[in-house]
Amino acid sequence: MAGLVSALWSSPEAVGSNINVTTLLTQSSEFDGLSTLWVLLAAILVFFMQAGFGMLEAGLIRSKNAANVLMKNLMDFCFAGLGFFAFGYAIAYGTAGLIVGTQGWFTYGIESPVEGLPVEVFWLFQAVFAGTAATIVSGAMAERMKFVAYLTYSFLLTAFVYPVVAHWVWGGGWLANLNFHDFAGSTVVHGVGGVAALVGALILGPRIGRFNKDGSPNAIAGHNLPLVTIGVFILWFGWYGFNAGSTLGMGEPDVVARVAMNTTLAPAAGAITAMVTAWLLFGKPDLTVALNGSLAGLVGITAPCAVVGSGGSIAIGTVAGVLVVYGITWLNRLRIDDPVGAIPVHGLCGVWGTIAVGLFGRAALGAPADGLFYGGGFGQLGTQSLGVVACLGFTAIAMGIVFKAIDTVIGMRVSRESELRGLDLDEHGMESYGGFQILTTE
Amino acid sequence: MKLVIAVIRAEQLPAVKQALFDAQIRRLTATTVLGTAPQTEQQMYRGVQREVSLFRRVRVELAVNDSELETAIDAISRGAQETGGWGRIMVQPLDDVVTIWTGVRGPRAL
Repeated sequence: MAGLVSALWSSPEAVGSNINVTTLLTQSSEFDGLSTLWVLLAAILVFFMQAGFGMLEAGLIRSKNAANVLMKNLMDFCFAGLGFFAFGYAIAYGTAGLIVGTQGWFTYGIESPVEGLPVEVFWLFQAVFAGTAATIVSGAMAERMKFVAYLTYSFLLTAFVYPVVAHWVWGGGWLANLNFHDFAGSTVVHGVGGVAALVGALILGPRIGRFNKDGSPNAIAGHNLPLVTIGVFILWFGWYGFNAGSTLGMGEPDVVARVAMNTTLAPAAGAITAMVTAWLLFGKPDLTVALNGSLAGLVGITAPCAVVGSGGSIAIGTVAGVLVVYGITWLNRLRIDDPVGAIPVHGLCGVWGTIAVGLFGRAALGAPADGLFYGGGFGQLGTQSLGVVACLGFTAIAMGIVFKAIDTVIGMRVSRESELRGLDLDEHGMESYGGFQILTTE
Repeated sequence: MKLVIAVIRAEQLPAVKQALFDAQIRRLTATTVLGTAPQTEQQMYRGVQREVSLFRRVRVELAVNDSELETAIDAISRGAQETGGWGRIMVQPLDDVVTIWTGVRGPRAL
């Protein structure tokens, strides 16, 4: 110990031949330490988004189902981690087939596709993305889905469905070859999660009492808005890792910086326009809708965050904030029950963000081509639209099969008695708020 | 002996309690309850209109000797008047009161 301290305090020349501080500090390696640190840090930020989703979803549902949705949030990440380890990574980032990768099962023999980045860090960054896609769905299907059915779904999505789309866009698949641009996953992560949520909510049906016989909707209010708010702040916080970490390194600090700035502007604009839209349409500024608006802006900027300027970012967030409010009302009209707004936030704004690359993207900032509003014509817009239709069409069909199969074998929905009593007691035998007086009849 | 039950709004409780204390009646039990009102209220939640017909109320209970009854009613009314004037006071006959520690029963137990 004393030797180490004196070594650190001495000049390199004085240390002697066995320890040389200069060579310790400048040790050459096949890895880029700064890039590795950044992607690792970003992966940890994205991991923390699980907490954000958990709080958001728990707060927007009734207290009798809070433990159930939190359990689903914990377990979908765990199943995603193992599913993506066993099968998902090989399908997404195995060898560069046009449709799926076919090497690297159980990560055997995988190598990093990014120079200077250890493959374990690359794997981790991609695994937390798979976990994010999975956890989006739990909110839309909350308060009525069987726990075992949900576990099965989360494994199948992250092991087999999400990786196919990730391969097409990020793993050297056919959409990558067409120059389809989705920088951090408006379509790959959020579109996939949003469409899976839509298919799941359709197959499950609405919660008891959510719609009247004549089709008019009833409000089933969330039980804890402070939890919802902390959840959204955690998500926004984690999103800096989600978007700015998708640079997969620190080789171009200017791109990382631009992404981080855009990841601030779009959600700010989205929250404001969602608030104003809700104020005009519903009469009051609704906190939950404004929070959805910030997430809408974040989802919207996720695909174009690297290739648009500040103006483009604000425009994308502005539109996303309006879209998400109309999305919520459209779902009410279609009698689709989405307690947390996952479908408008992740599905609708995921589509919008991906299309927006073809509108606001700039070749000078690294887009495959200039977008429509920058004189690039309809070329990139067409590619983006094709990619959205292909990815989300595939997801809808695959998840339709997955959910139908689960419904047949296990059953998707809990019993009526269970739903009325609450899933906390019936599925887990515990209360979320033991010791609290819960003053509600719902 | 009488059991006095007042159903008031939560924001009235501190003033009602203080008025009872000022009248030298230092005993009450309060619980949070749901109650109806003459009018329902329309609220919007995520774009869906909902009619709220059960509102959060506080139910104050206290046992009093017959001689204290009017003082207690006056105090509760005064406290409630200072804070908007809402609420109802209900009075019931009370058969017996037992102090558990001493076993004393009846009016002396209060």
